[in-house]
Amino acid sequence: MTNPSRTIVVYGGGFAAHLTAAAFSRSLGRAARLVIVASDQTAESDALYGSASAPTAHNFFESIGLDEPTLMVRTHSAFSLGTRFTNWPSGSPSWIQTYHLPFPILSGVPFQHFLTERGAALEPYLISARAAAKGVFAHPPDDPRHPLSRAEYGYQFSVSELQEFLSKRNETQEIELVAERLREVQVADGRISALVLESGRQIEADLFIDCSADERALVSALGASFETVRELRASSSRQEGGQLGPAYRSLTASDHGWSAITPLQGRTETLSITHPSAQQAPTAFEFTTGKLDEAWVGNCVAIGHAAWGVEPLTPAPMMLLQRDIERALDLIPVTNDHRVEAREYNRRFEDDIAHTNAFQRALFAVENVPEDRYWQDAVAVPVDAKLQRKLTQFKSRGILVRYDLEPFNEEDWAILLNGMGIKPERYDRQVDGVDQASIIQQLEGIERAVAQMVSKMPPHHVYMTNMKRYLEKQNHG
Amino acid sequence: MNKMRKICILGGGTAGWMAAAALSNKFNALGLDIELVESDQIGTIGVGEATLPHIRFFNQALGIDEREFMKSTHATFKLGIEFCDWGRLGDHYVHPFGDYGFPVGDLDFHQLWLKLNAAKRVPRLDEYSYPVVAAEKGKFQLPGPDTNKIGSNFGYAYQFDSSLYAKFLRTYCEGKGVARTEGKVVNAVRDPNTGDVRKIELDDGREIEADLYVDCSGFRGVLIEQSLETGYDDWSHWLPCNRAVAVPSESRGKLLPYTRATARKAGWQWRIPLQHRTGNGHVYWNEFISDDEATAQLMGTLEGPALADPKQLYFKTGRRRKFWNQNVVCIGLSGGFLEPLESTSIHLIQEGITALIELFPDGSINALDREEYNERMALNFERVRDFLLLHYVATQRDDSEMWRYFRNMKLPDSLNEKLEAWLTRGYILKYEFGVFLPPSWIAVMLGQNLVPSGYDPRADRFADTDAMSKLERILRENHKAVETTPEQQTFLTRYGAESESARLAAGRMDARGT
Repeated sequence: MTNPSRTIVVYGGGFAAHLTAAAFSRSLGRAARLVIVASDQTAESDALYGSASAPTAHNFFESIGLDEPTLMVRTHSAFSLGTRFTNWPSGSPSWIQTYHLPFPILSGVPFQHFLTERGAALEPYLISARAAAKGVFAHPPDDPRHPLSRAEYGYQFSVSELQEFLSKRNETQEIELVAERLREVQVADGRISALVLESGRQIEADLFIDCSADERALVSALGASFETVRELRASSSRQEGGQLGPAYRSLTASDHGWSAITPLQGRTETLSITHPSAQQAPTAFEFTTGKLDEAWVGNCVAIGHAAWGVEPLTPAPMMLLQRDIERALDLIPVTNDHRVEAREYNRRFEDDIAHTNAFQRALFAVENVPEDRYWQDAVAVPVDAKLQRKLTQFKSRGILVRYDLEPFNEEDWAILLNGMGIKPERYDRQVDGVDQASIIQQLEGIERAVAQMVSKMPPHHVYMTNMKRYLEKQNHG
Repeated sequence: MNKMRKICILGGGTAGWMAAAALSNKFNALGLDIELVESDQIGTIGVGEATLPHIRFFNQALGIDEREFMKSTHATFKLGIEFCDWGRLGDHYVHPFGDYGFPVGDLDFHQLWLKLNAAKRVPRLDEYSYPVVAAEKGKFQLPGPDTNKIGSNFGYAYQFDSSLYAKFLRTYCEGKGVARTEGKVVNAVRDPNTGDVRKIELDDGREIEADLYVDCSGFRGVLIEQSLETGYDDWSHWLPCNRAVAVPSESRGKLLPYTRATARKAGWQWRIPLQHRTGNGHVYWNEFISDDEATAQLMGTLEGPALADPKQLYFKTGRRRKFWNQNVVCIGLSGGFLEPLESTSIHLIQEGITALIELFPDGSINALDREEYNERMALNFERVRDFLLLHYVATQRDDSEMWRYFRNMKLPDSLNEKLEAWLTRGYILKYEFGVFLPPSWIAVMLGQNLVPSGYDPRADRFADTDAMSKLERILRENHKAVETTPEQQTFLTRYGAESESARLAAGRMDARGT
């Protein structure tokens, strides 16, 4: 097969467009001809992808040729063990929303139930949380007996820097770049027949990917509509210089919203979110959370902010963007009839959005919030039945209800609910049948192993420097 | 708090003893009192039962030695199920416990196969599955530790005598202090205030009081239905077979590591090879075949002489509206019935027990625990139902009334979407919670001649020659792995899992090797 049988056009010049093009190019190779149509290389809303990713980004970035050495040597990215919440209006105002592999099972019983029984906190048993708090980092080894092997990590990065990196790289791939403004979207029978550009050039394709953020130029031409949930205002800034900070994002709540600082190599990035009525820097911009009624319409799929708006409280935006791309790749149409693909894409899209929103909505399942519109709007968003079941079951007896293929896993939920200070009323009945002395010994053993390990780990910046020195010797520079 | 002190399990079949074994193992240390009531006058169902790989984890959790268990229940190893005459008369395929090949990056293996199959350049997909090829050759050995290696990338289950399994577990339970009471329940007394079952009365006048009752009384649902009138969701319009006739027979020929399910004009027949004999049965829809004819058809197709009179069974496919109602949890046939086409009966018992342990009441019963239990079990039953229905509708048969009935059936939307996505592009609608994973759906759909018209375009990132060499490598390795695998009989003997009476089963000894 020498002539690719299909053309895919990506419309948009921001982060989502370049990430999509990079992933499509790797995954489809000779199976498709890729075209990027973009007049503009920047989208201010790109900052809302947040500057942190969950552990799934490791494999995803690697699959698009952005492996970890490249990321660390060629960009200012850093490791990320999670997000530290401070001053949050929950029962417990501060915790580290860290990443972790499945928790241990002691004497046949999930170990959290022993913590509930003893009224003990979760964090001292989580190596990733402890390491983050102390500002240290090291790669988790494969050996499952090693205490650090239970840790998981994502990345902290600058979206605009990754966007630049990818757009340069995409130029070297077999991707056609058309830097022109869109004049018109030609629609016939509920499908895009062509994009007409300012020069009059017409671009036809088998599949159009709308990565135009809140412009939504393509999907909206096909009748998709955006269902707004909240209106917010964001401002982002960057401070150059300084030593690499800890491997976590630091998110602090205030009366008007919140602000997050992300340490990167040689710089930090700050992102603040409020209600539009609040005072903010002149560069601040407004955005809405919500989603399209259908992300795939006719022969067009909206990816990233073109399809949804999600507050970057957690790595949710990056997780969703990655899932959008993977979902689209799973369903690249085989014929001109896209009905099967669209239906399945939209089903998965709905699930992913609902599950993501549930996790973020859980952050506002708190008793008292400030009077500011930001907080009042947040708690006014309805709690859906799935989240209600999760919250009820967790409060009732520490059960973590799960649904199919959720982006946030059981550990994410356990860490969140524990972190917020929500305490199960009961614990697993099996706990009472287990020898107490042995449990105390096992729990103390875990805590001690975690503390010892953390005391031996180097500071994040030292680890980074040493790792890069090693990589440069290996010619990764 | 009013702690749970006493559990009464009603019924001593597979479900009852499995529940007793697991609950006593988990809660013995709590000083929980478990009493199982069974009556020798009430027969249990089961002439040979096929299982799913999950049963191994159930046994392991109880600390059961695999060899002891296999010897005691005349168990054989099971690599999958062979389906005969389902797509068209004369067809056969194996639904294996394991994947086909290995994925290539983000591309499922079967997509590469579909790409080359379109050009008719490859053997059937089954050739890339170790459990299929091993099963077809009557071979078996335990998988190794590295599941990324061909010959270790599979699961296995057992085929055993379920009444002997119940007996085996009974001995286990006696060691754990479970009390067994012989008797027949004649009445259940309910608390007028709470509606809970307070006590049950036996035919000899004895009474048993418990905090929680586990109803394993089979189809009758003595507590869950006769007393609590919980109600039943009838699924007969999806799965209309409502009767079965079962009979054991002498074994003949090679000891096969798989169950066979052969489609018939008004139902299907099972054949389950145990070490000492073969279990047989005919599941049918009485609308289109008489009991006598169904029995005659079964008896006429036995491979060896019958070892007992055929036993008649009656059932209605569906599930109890609530699996946990008041202080009664129903596990096994009292909870619902789904025909044993994919060996899910014991699996659903196991799911019921696992969920009960996780949600076991710590004091008076919490309504939230019940709700959660019911949600989980409902999902389990529904997902199995859809997978069973797939076998009846993914077919080209129209040679009898029953097959024409399925042909005209309006499918549940969820199943319809699965079929369309498969036929369009070999895509599987995945779920995480449910027993049948993508390879199972692929096995049945492809096995019943639903060949997708397209394939995942990502397969075209590989040149044909490149794709071909990837497939050929797996094919070679697979055949090599099967080559070095012993016959199941040889392995059973060598492994030390051969039962006493199997050695004496003259029928097979004579026929072995013929």
